[in-house]
Amino acid sequence: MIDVDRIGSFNRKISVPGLLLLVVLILVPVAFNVLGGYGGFTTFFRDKAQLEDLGFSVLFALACSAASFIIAIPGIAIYSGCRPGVRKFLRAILAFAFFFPPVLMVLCFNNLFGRNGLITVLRIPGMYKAAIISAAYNIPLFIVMTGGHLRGLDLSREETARSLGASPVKTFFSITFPRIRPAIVGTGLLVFIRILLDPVVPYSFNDSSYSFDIAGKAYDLLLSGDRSNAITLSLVVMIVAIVALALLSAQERKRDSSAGSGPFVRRSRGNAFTFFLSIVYMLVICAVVVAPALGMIWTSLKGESGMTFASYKALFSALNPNWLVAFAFILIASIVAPLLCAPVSRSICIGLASNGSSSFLALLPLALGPLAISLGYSGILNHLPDTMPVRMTLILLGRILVLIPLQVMVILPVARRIPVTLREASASLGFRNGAGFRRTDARIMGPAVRTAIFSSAAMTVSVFALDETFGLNTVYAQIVRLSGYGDMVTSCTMGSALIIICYILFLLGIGHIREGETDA
Amino acid sequence: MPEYGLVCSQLKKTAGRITMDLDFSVAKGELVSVIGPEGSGKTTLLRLICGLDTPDSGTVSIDGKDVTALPPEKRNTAIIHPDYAVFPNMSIEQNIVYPLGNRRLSKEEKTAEARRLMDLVNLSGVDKKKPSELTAEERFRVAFARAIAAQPDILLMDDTLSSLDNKTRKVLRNDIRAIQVKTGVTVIFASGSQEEALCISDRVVVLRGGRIEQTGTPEDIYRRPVSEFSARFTGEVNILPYDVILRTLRVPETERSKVIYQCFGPEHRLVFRPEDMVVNDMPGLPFPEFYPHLRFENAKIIRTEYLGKEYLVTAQYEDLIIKVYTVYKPASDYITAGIRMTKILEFNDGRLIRH
Repeated sequence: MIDVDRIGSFNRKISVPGLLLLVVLILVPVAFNVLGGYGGFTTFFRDKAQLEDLGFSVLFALACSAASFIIAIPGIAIYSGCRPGVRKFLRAILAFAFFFPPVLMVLCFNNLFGRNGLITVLRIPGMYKAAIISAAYNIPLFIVMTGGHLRGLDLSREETARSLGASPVKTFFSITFPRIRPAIVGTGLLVFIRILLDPVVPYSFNDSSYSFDIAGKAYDLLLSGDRSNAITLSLVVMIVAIVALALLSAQERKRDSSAGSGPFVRRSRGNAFTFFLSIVYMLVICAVVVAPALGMIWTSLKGESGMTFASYKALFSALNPNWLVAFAFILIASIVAPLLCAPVSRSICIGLASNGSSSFLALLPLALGPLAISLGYSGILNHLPDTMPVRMTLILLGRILVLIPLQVMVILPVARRIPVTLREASASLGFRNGAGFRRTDARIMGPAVRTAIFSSAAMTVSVFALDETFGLNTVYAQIVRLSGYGDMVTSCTMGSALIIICYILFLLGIGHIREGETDA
Repeated sequence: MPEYGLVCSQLKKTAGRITMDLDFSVAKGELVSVIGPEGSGKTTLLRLICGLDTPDSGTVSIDGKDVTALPPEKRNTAIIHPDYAVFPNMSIEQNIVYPLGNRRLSKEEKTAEARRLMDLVNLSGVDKKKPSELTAEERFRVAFARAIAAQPDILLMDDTLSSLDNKTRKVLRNDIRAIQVKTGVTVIFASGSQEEALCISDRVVVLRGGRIEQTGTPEDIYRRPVSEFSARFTGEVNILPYDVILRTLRVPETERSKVIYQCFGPEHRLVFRPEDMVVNDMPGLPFPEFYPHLRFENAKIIRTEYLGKEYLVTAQYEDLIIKVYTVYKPASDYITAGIRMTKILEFNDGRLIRH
């Protein structure tokens, strides 16, 4: 068993360069947000209607998270019990839900639910559409993260319970469930934060002209020019998300120490009927994840102008040059930001893994959310010359802050699995402590770092709020506007191109994941 | 005819690189050790018996009832894994009473039963503690008490002492035996250590590549191994080619034909334990003469290992390597050792042909 908590001579209490940079990157937007939105705090907490909105947003996010988990339960069992090849395939499909930018997700689902959608006849109210999409797109997160945790637990305790006379049901509730509960709660809190902080889905599917959730209201206010109140609302949401993140970090400590010594084979003893049901279930889940994207690509291909692959080229060549600049910036940022983040994330992960500390600080940007980060960094523009290079630099810093927790989530599980003995052996072979760390960690964590770079490169294009706040005419901004004007063919064409690029990057990323290493 | 608690009949299973194919039975109340090197199929056998794995073919019967198709919870067996699998989310008392959940007992009855079992396994003052607060030895005792609480027909122990220090292992193996005798439970004890197996078992089964190499009492296994593999696996042994007899035999010429029967060829081996050899380790004393015997005069010592109460000396005699135990550290670089012909086993092609 790997002893991750072992206190030895190699413990480094602080990962100085990484955490220091992270703290600076966090403090800047938080400070500007607090300065800009503190005044509205008293008004907010005195306004009963706004408190009700906050309560409703929290309940909405909780309900969607719970629904996601309930639907994901069979998937967790199937994912943890299937063969490595099948699991890799499922991960490649389910990964869609992780990197899929909310804007594109909205565009995809518009094909199903929106004005031009396929399911307009059902006349589902906007809030329910948003709830369905939020729940559906977080099911894969539960399946992969909790299923991965379940797969990593060694089977001896469950086998012992069975041999002592406990039925499968009793074994699950008395032995298995308590061991995966921290993973379920942790993933649930992560999903809760994602839904709570996401303004795009509720905003896009709202029937009325006002959003029903706090994040959406903040976005409404930002668009209407009330920046101060938008910051106040984003701060309120941020505080709730930070509380959730603190609870999430607390779950880390409760994880079973035998987790991670796998992979272990969890074989299904089901009959042909349950096998058939499993296949149907996974097909439905994969369809929910993939079908909207395929629908969008299909819309772009069958458009009124008779889109073909040749006409894609024609469309792009006919685009406004500014769009191409924006597209190019997105692509450059997708390469530069993850590469700049990687050493920082790696340094943070090594520090956290060496001394077994909580990952709260490293994941804190998740709780800040892209909107608060964007508002914070754009606040700096009031104190600096408003030039394009300054804007680009701030956007890049914002992207780095958004990407660090994503990379940490990929690298940290691997870093935590590096046994202290490997580092000690490396040092005993003649390397000094620091060199021993670096060489050993670099060799073992290399694939995880590469996964993190590719995955975050796919995700960096999704930081729509950042670009929108800075008024950058990026491809996403264009997609949203075109979609708003009803030009679904062009917006779907742009979106399809981005989806394909993102997915290729993501596949390159998950190609580095080794079986049993991480499902983060 | 003993009453069999367990009968495995034509049990076949392919798992990874192990292809298991064996017939195996255990009498009621017997403690049988299954020994073999890593990958010999010890764990697979135990998993097949308790239903955690299903055989490709063959049957498993417990108390005369075919349980091959039954799930683990219906077989009335209990397994103790190498890591003891003490449930981390429960206190020690809750762990021990876990198998009692299926019986209708009051809380007081369960507590009393837990106390009784903890006394049985010499565990005290830990009932409210969590497993993480216990030492490995205490965790083993908890797992043992919990398994006994289930009142199993067969108790399976899968290399349970391997992670403990030598002193604790000795204490625990004696405790296992004492409790097994006291409770009368049938135990199958899988181990990679032949020392443990030989000292606590009624019977020992030697496994090799998923097949039974030999089965018998510990004395049988040690003194009359049926194969070179069994001989090597159960302790230090000298295995010499048959032609050594022609060079080292000490016997009057008239008696020679009575000793040398037949030379089978290059695969014919002489096998004997180092402790059966007589060694002249007292300088100045003449070597004891006894007939017939093999004598290795002035073998050059190449290694001396101190084992506490004796030395294990490895020496080279012509092109042969021999091992002998000596009470005193050899005074010179040479040693003379001999062995009676009656102590020698003869093997051909790896199998015992005469002892």
